[in-house]
Amino acid sequence: MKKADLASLERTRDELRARLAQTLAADPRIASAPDADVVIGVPVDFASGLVKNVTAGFLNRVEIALRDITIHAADEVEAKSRLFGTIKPGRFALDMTLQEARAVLVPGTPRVDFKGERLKLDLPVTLTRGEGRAVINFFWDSRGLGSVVCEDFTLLEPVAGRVRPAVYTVRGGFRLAVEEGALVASPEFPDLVVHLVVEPSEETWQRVDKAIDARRWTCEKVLERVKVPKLLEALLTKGFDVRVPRSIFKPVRLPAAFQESVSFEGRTYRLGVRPLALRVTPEILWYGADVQPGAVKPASEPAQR
Amino acid sequence: MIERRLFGSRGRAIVAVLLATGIACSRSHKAPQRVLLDEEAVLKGQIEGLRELQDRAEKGTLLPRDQIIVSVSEQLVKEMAQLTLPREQVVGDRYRVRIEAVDVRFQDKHGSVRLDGRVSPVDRAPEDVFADVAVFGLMDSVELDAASGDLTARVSMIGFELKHVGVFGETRLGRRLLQELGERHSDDLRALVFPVTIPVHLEKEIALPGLTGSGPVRVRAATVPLSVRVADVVAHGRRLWVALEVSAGEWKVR
Repeated sequence: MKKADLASLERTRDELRARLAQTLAADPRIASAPDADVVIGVPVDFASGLVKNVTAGFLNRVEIALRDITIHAADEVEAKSRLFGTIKPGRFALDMTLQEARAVLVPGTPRVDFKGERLKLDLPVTLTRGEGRAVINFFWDSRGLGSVVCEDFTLLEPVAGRVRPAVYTVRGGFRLAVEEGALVASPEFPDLVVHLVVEPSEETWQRVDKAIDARRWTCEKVLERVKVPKLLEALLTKGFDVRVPRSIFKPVRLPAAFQESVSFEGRTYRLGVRPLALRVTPEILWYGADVQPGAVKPASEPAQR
Repeated sequence: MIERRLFGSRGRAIVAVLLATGIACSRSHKAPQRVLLDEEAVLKGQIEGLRELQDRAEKGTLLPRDQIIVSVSEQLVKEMAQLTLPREQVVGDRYRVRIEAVDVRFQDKHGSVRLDGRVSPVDRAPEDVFADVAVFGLMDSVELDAASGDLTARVSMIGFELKHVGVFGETRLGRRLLQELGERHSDDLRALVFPVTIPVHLEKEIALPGLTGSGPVRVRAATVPLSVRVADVVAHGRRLWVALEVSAGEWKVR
């Protein structure tokens, strides 16, 4: 090839190099990368998606199980009689022992917002797939003439039902920072308090009604006065607060990190790694490190990450 | 006397790139005139690479928007490669090769590597018969070790250069041995190129610990596997840019 032709190719190459350098300098994503020996860039969308996934993963595994909780209600029953006026035929005591109530949390679609080095997150979670078992122990303690109307008796009935579904919003976020060579999202969430209410099944109500019907008719009147089913419902709907601790959220290491040593052909080499601060841009999270390759490590020391 | 073997036009281009851009080992070589014969292929290769980069830069696809990017400087890769030098190997059961220097360049799309050393017959003292050898390679692929999560840049040999040096190397025997190396054992020289570890580690999974205890809340430990794949490798601006496609699988409760 003639020298002139080669010179022409050289000119073309140099022009392309200059043009590429200009284009790259104007690319805000490339220009925003830190000047370091090793740089890792995580697109904001990717980080958001991963954190969403992980947050859902935290909440998706939460199981709530209440066991052996007893609620007690007791009162004196008053009744009006044509003959004796207001009488107090006796007292009742209702103990409801929640043998077990279970439910799980199911996360919905989170809303994520990046603010500086913080990733804010609003996540709806549904308390669902719950069921409960309880035993009610109704004791009628007749007093004076009351024993004529309805003598002492005990009503022991199992109760089964479902946990009433409810939706809660988890508000919190993650703070991003470079720790030990990795981009780490540290959780910033409050405790979540959920309210567990067991709704008795239709079968349970039928069984309670049947047990009441089985009493003498005079006793039935007393039980009607006490309004056992309503009392039972009131006790159950009062429910139980359960605190889901913030400690269920753990720091999340994003999957790429700098190594402090490398192994090659059976030898391990130390690397002096000096991570730089996280650089947050609208599109990419950059973290970089200056690396100084160093001495061979003794064989007994394992490679470090 | 110079023995030169290059594998393919791309190889010729890269070698000439290396030489034309002034890469040399610490010892000074007198660049033979015939290197310039490859200049056309060099320039065309550079232009092709630059046009592709320019096209991608204008389309905004040089950096992916949905993949993790790892960028490493040519200086660091060179220093990482130097960690293992000098290294001595026997090739073709007949030649001892001692590699003493390495140079790395990341520009015009391709990563290029040059290893410089000395070759001598194993049955002779190295100072009796020897030649300087330069092995040229392309750092054009990066592999992710699925087991360890380590990133390794692979170098493929594309050519080499043999040059007699020293008084004793100009013997008839020496010339014959080195000619044979060039003609019959060139493939054996591929064993000289070695991979370079990029000091970045990729996790294979995200593990979430469980929460157990006497309280009413139980959280089962779980892991989500991460699938990581090297999607693109490109050299420009004196850096090697590696795009990694990462996708999360289904949660597995432990």
